[in-house]
Amino acid sequence: MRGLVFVLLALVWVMPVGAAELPGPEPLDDAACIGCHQETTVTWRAGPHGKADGAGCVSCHSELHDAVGSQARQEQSCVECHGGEHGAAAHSYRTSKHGVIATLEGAEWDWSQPLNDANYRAPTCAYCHMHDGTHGQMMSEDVLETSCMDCHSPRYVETLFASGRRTLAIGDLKLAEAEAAFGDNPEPKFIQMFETMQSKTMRNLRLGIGHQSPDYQWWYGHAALDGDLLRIKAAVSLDARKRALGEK
Amino acid sequence: MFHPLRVLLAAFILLTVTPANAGMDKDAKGTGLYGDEWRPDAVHEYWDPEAYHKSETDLVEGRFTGEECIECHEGITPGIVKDWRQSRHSSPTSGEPVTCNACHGDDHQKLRFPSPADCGSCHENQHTEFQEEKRYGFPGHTLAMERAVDAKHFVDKPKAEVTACLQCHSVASKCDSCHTRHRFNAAEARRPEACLTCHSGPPHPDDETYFASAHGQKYLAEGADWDWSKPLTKGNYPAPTCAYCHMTGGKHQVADKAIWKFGIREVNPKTAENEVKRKRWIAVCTDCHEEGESREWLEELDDERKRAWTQLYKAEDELKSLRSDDHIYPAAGERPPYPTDWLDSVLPFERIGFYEGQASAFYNVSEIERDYFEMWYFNNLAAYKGMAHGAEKITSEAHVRLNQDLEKIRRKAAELRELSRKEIESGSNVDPKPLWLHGPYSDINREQN
Repeated sequence: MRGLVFVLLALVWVMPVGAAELPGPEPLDDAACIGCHQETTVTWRAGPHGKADGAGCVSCHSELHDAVGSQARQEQSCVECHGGEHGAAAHSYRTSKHGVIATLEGAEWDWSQPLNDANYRAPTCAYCHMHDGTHGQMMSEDVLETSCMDCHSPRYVETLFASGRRTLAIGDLKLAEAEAAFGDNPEPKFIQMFETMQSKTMRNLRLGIGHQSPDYQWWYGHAALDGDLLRIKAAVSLDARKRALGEK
Repeated sequence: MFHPLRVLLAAFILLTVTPANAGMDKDAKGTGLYGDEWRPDAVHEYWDPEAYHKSETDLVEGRFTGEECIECHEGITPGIVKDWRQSRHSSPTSGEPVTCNACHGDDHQKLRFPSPADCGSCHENQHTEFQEEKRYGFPGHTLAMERAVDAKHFVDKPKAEVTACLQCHSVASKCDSCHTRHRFNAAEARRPEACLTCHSGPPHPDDETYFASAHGQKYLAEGADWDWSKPLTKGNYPAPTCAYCHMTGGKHQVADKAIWKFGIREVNPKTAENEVKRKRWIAVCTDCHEEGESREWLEELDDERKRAWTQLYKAEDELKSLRSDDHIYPAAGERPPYPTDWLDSVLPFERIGFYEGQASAFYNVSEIERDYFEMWYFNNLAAYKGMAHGAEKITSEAHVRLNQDLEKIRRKAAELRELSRKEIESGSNVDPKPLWLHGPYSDINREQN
């Protein structure tokens, strides 16, 4: 009798509430996943993927329950939505040292391992943005910094983060200078040039810093911001000279 | 719209954070020709450790053996320990393992990052070859850091902006640019991807042009199955890679065959020195190809360079003639000067062409000068790299763009002349200085850097 009670108690202990058995081979939808993975759902809802225009479980994990982690941890599950193979997000990562190592060695890695403890020789999208398997705050500096420190010293990480903030602050100053250039004369053409500078070039700079790609920090980042800035000034200058001549 | 608070915040971040951190002397100065004129950003210690890195002194005291280092760091920074365990340093074919203290020292208060010379204490041949590359001048790996910090735009711009330059140019000051730490694998450095973090992007699309070539296509299709532990010598690889050609036989020099100097200036490819280099190229190509065929390819590259420079010089002439006639707007003197350039402060002039320092003329210049910069630095170099790596399509597309650039520059030059003519006729004069000399970025650059 005592033995039976013990077995029953043990069964209650190991069986998740409301999850009598693992799903079979039939395709699942998000609702089915959420039914069991409640804890993950809470953090997912709080993060960018949990928003109305975000990404649900099957977008990354596929509709099948087998080996879902291994697949979702790989870059392919991210790039399709994040600008594609040749988009700035993937390209800036691919050209970083981390990306190079992943390109060369990734096929041999054991992708069933959790996203922590330097289980992968180089970090991947998920290793940093979903460190420890978090489904929530993917852009949180705390999460990102923690993942760096699996391999790098705290001092190195802090120094690089602080320097990156300064690099970005300089980008902000270039944007401000561009906007001030047409401050009194906000013609649609100037605003359009400014918006491209802000949404494309400044984003490149952010990606370059985040992904540690020198090209995106420099040629697609700061050196491109310099070009954007002087072209906005040139457009404003030309406009002013034509006005002075009475041509506008 | 851009919020003014962001400007204040940006200025705050730049001005209140002391660049020097625990790792750098508070009064650390720049290096190179203009070393007195600039102070390094804190992150510089990691790109030129020999010049700037200072060991942490308030964390751990004592001297440690390699085993002791590993015991702690397995928990603190497991990645580097795992890497080291898989490296040849941990299980050499002969002798004792090379542990942490061999490269970093054993006193935790006086830890150092290994310089190329430290690596050279064991890898003597590689280090000697690397250092001897200097005699071929720049571009090359060994002079990369010295030349970076001597560039006017490096000195002029905020140091947190130009740290991106240092990441690549640090190839001169640390070996892990190619042999990533703590695996330090020769096989990894032989793969073309090992080069592309720096050899990519608009001025040097080495990755794009190589991968588009027949050699690169073969590598992409089969490379994963090749035995990368083999030396870079004849018969070991079915197609050449960056290192196979540029570091023949594994020799740690990339500049010993540098004839066309990265394509950034016109060269005579048939000087006595270049004839020696041509022989070296032919020796590499003839590992697989006929000698005559190899010689012909070099001639084709010479021809391509001639065609590119013909177009570039036409554009350059256009700009120089605008400069002579005072039609550049804003002209030098009406835009921020390079602060380190005393000549510019007494006799401002627009830097047009390689020999006038055009490499720095991508900012604080008029639009037409930037157009020429992009023609020269982006499209010209794409044409060159495409030709050198055997990606003809990229070269012919780049030549189409060079022609379009020239047309655009001529059209704009005509517009500038016309505008100036009308202004002179009507006495109209819009002063460019308020717009071009000042602004949140330009002011910080002038006053704080």
